[in-house]
Amino acid sequence: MDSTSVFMNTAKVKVLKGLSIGKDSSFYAQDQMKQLEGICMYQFSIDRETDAPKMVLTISGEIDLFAAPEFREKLYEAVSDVSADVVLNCRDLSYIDSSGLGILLGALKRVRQNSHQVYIRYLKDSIKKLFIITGLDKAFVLEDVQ
Amino acid sequence: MSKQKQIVLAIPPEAAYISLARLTASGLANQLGFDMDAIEDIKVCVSEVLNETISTSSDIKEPITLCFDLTKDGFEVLISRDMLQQSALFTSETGQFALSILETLMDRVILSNDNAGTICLSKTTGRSVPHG
Repeated sequence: MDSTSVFMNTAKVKVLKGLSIGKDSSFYAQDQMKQLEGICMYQFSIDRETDAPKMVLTISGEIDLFAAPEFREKLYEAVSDVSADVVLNCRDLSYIDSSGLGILLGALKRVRQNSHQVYIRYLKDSIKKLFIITGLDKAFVLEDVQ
Repeated sequence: MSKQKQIVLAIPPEAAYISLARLTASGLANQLGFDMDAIEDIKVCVSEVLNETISTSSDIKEPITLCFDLTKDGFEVLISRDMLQQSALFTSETGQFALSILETLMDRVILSNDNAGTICLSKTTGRSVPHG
C-alpha cells in the first residue's frame, strides 16, 4: 500500500505553509496540538490502495468553519487529478457541519468531471442524518461495508 | 416555556470560537437531561447559526451573543449580533444546507427582523430526530 499521512492542526496554519500532500511525506504538529487542546482539530490522511482501482482518503476529527479553509484546499488538491473513484473513509469523523458538507460536494463535482464517483464509508449515525436531511445521501454513495 | 435559568455567552465573531459555543450548548443540553441524539442535534444547530452569522457579515466586529434560557422542559437559545442582515442569511448553497438542518433538528426556529439580528432556536427534552 502506498500511504501518505498528514496530521494537521488547523489553528497553526503557518506551520503548514509549503506543505503538500504527496507520496512519502508526513507531518506531525504535536507541539502545536498541545498548545491548542480542545480547540478544533482534524486529521486528514490519504491512503491510496494499489490493489484496488480507488483512491481512499481518510478524514477524522471535527470539520467546522474554522477547519474548512484548510480542509477545502487539501481535499481539492487530493482529488484534482484523480482518475479513479474516490472513497472517503469517515470512521473517525466525529463532527461535520454544512461548511464541511459543502466542501465534500465540491470535491464530488471535481471527481465527477472525470466521470468517477465518490463513496463515503462508515459514517456515524449522527452525521449520516445530516446527509439525509440535506439530500446529499442521493449525491454520494454511502456505504457501511465491514 | 417558563424560564428557570439563563446563561449568556458572548464570543468574538471568529470561526475559532464556534467550538466553544458548541461545547457550551452540548454541556447545557446534557445538564438538562437531553439524550445523546438530541445533544448532537443542538450542538449542530448552534454551530450552523454561528457559521451563517460569521460568514455572511465578516466586516462586523461586534461580538455574537448567545443567550441560553433553560426551562424545566427544554431550552431556548437566542443568538444575536448587532447590524446583522437577516436577509443575507441562509442564501448560499451551504446556507441552504444549514437551514434544512435547523428546521429538521430543532422544534422551533425563528429569524427575527429586529436590529439585533436575533435567531431563536428551541428544543424540548424527549424529542430527537431519529437517525435515517
